Amino acid sequence: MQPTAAEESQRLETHATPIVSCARAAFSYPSSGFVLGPATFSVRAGEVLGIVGPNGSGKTTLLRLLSGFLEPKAGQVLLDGQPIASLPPKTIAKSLAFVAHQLPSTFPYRAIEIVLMGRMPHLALLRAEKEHDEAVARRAMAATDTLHLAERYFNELSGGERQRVMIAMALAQEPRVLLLDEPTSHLDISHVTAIFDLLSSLSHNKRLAVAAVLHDLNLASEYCDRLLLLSSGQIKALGKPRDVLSARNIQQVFETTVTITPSPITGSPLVFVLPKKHR
Amino acid sequence: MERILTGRRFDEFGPADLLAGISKMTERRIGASNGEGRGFLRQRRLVWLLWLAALAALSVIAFALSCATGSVHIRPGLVARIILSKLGLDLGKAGWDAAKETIVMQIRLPRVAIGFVVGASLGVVGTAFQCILRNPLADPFILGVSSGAALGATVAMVAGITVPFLPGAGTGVVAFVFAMLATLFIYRISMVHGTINPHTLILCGVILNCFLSSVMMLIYSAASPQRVHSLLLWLMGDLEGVSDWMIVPMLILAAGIAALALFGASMNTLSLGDEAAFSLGTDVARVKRAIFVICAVIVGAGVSATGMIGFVGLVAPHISRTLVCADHRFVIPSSALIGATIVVLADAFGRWLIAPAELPVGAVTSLIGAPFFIYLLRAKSKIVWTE
Repeated sequence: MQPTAAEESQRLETHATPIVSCARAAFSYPSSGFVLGPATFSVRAGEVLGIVGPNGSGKTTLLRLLSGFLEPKAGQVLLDGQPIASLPPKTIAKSLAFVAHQLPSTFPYRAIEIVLMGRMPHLALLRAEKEHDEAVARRAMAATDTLHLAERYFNELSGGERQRVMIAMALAQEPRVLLLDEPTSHLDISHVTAIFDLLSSLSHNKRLAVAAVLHDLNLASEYCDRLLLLSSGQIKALGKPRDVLSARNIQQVFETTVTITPSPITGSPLVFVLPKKHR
Repeated sequence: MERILTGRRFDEFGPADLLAGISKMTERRIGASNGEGRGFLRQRRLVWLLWLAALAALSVIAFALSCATGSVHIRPGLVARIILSKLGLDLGKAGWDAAKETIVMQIRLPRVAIGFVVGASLGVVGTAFQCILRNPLADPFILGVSSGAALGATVAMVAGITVPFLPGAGTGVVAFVFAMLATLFIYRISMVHGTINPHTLILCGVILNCFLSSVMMLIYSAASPQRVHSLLLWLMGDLEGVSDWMIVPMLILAAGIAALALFGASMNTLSLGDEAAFSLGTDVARVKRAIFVICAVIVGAGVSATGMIGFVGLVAPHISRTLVCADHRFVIPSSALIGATIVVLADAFGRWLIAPAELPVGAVTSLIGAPFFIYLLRAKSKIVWTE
């Protein structure tokens, strides 16, 4: 017999460190036949969880469920054991930050003004930011290598710079859970490495729970403690990169033939594509 | 092994209690953390205060100037003294002409005051609409609420509707009722899954505008030429027919402006899009609904009182953003002052140019406002919005 949502959530609650968990959470868009879940898993304090899968497999939808932006049609998403749908957005925002994939188009704000918006959840109504808030914002900008852009207009920055500003905004929220949707898609290799070094250091040293949707399987393999492989809305595999990133899983889910070799330095599985003439 | 690939390393710290990990050197580089120098916030507070003070002064000068303008010239200084004496602030040198006092207090002050409040409300509603519709082209009249009010006024004027106990207020009351009906309609249509979809909302508004305008055209084609002329003048924005009950829309507008001012911080987050706004703790659906309803009441009351004064609501927010910054906590009060100044000045100009006849204020706002705004855009070469 399948466990009910309530039993499942109780089981997850008693588990040691999950911060955000899905308890048989399911979602479907009204106008399409796409169904996500029911999915049961958790994002734990001190880990980086990578969400991987083909286009349209529901990665972004899953992240939106975790963030509380979308409400599950069935089951529950729990933040610290409480149904996230029952929490006011401001309460959620105090512990959970979400970096969407799409860069916002907006009015002419300066980069630091955007990052300071990350302090919003911590401000009472009609209270302006204080020196402390600016210090936090500047730290977040330093951490994402955007401090030198502070006074520039957000609109005038490059895609990669804007993406880093958005990550800085999320860090300025001082969250305990950080959700990111393809956070490094616009970044060059040096900034990709820097951002992921930062994320992994924050999660391992400061117990931040990180969940990121990633397209780059090798990046996911190197930096994530666990991977969640999605295939048309269902969890195909969940576990350590070396267990999830098998040639068989990738063949089944992505319908692509690859070879997998451990990294000579880290031992993480690295995925190599095979051009047609070599297959 | 770490040494093999040394890329650039950023400071290994981040949010929360990570303060512990920061070295002295980094602290100094970041600045502002212990109150010393480079404080963006400190500088911002100063810039905002100075600008708001300057704009407030400008609007007061415009107010006095407008009270001074008319068939009988009364010096702005005297206007100020008369008004101040009524506020119990006598500057000593009393002894002005009683007729002048009557002109200022009975004729000009009410007219300039309603123009001031309507202008302020247009600036604020323009700001709010541009934000929740995430569209720099939005103005207070884009959503069809104003067309509802205009149709109501047209019907009331043509049919000669009067409201019991409120002599002279018939047109305004009917216009307001029509505006609220239009609001209800557009609100129901544009709700998608419990939240307001900006694109649906704009499209519905534009189409409702077209529909209501053509109904008005039909009425015009059947009405007598004199009626049509006075209707058209009213549509272009009319501060001439000010009557005693104008205090009601003025209070509604003032309350509406105050209510919208509470949403400044939320509007900042909303201008980054729904998802980011939610992530920053904004209750997106509720806040947007609240802003929309408050704006609709303001537009309904404003149009019912003085017709459609164009251009102000579109440019006041852009002027604020171009001159200073895009933060809505600044743009709201600043657009209110800029909107008030533009309307009051345009009204004075319209009364002065072809005196003793008058130009409709709505035509003058665009006439003098558009060239100034184009100049500002070119001079500052600012980007108002980027995809």
